[in-house]
Amino acid sequence: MNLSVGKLLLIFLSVMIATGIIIAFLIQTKNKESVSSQRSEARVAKVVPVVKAAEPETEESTVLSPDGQMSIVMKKVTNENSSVYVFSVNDVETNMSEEIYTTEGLGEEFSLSANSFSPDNRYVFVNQVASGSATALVFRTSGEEFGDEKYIDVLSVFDKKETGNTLIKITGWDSSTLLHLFTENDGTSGPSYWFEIPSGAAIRLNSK
Amino acid sequence: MKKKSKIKNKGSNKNRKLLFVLIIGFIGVFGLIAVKKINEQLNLPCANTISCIKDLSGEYENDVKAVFLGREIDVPQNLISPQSSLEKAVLGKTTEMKHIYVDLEAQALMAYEGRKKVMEFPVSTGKWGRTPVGTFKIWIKLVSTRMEGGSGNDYYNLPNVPYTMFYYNDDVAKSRGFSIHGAYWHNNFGYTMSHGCINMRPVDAKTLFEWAEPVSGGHTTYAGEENPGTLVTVYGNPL
Repeated sequence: MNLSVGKLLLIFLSVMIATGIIIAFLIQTKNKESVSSQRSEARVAKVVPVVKAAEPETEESTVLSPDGQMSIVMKKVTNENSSVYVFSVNDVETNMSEEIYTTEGLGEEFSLSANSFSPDNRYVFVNQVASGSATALVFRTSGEEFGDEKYIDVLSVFDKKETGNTLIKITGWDSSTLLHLFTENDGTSGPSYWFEIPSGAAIRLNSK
Repeated sequence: MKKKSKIKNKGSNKNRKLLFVLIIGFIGVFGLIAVKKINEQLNLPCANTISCIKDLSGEYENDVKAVFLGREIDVPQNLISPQSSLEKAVLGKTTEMKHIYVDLEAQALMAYEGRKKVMEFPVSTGKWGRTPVGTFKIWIKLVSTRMEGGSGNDYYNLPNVPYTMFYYNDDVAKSRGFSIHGAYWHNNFGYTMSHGCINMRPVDAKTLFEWAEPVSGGHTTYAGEENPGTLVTVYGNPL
């Protein structure tokens, strides 16, 4: 095979051109993939929401004393996993406020009764439901404690009396120191009781 | 024949005597029932068995103690606002007819102007005495009064009962003293707690007192032709 120098040069040039075309093609393809990938990433970035910390929700409820001179305010601040309850008593005329209780309320629900205040405004109770049982926590509106205890848990004291009846509801105050309790017995309506504050005595009533 | 007629006469005499005894018996029984009914009508109990409606001055008593459920309790100060006793208070000026409804089952009081409900409050009605049902008219409003009744553990003597509105109708005389009033001795509204009257929280009683007619003027206000009393309808059965 006798190839002239000219022919060899021509072949060399042809190979070089072909190689150049292939390289150019490969580079272009790679660039396209890169742009496409960037666009895709941009799309994903738009879809994924910005995760912010959930803002706590605040609920507030107020009950006025029967003479309109005091009020109790329950603030419930709900975070992701828990609720914090803050109870305060206010003097309506002077607008002075006394915080009487704060709790994280883990597994507990609190609410205010329309009959929260004792008729003389010395005591106030809040309803609590924990583990399916209803009770009331009784506080002094002055913020003073009952001995070493911040409050009297009506259910806890009533259960120790072993009356054989289950406390189902605390309706309000029959007098300045007597809470009115409804009970049940084996699913039927049981007798009513007076629950005396601060002694904790339970007095069975003949009437409902 | 004579013997037979004698026997017949004896038989008819016996029948006459029996008939006479029966008639006397019937008269006696019906007479007793009638006397009992008349006596009941003449001696119907007052809502407050002792005080009834003795004091209509409407004035506030100073330095007094109260008794409720057989226990002595403090009488709160500042229950009566000076405005209620001295000025003519008209809350809710309207041309519509005012009407108060009391639902004994729900233990709730609703105040209407025409067909529009303008207020609703929890109440406590008769527990130791029945609250009569029917439609009544307010005949007097007292800023403050004393109520006394019951006996034993149930005895009560309550001065300065705030914002009292006595009502009546043809069946329930004024003298029986049924009323709507504030109650400072308990806070168990929404449940029966009274001797027949309609108890309200003092703060709610004041609002209703100033809204209802006759338009208040002074410690005591009588309803009249020019200042008629608001109608009160009581209905339902307490649970």
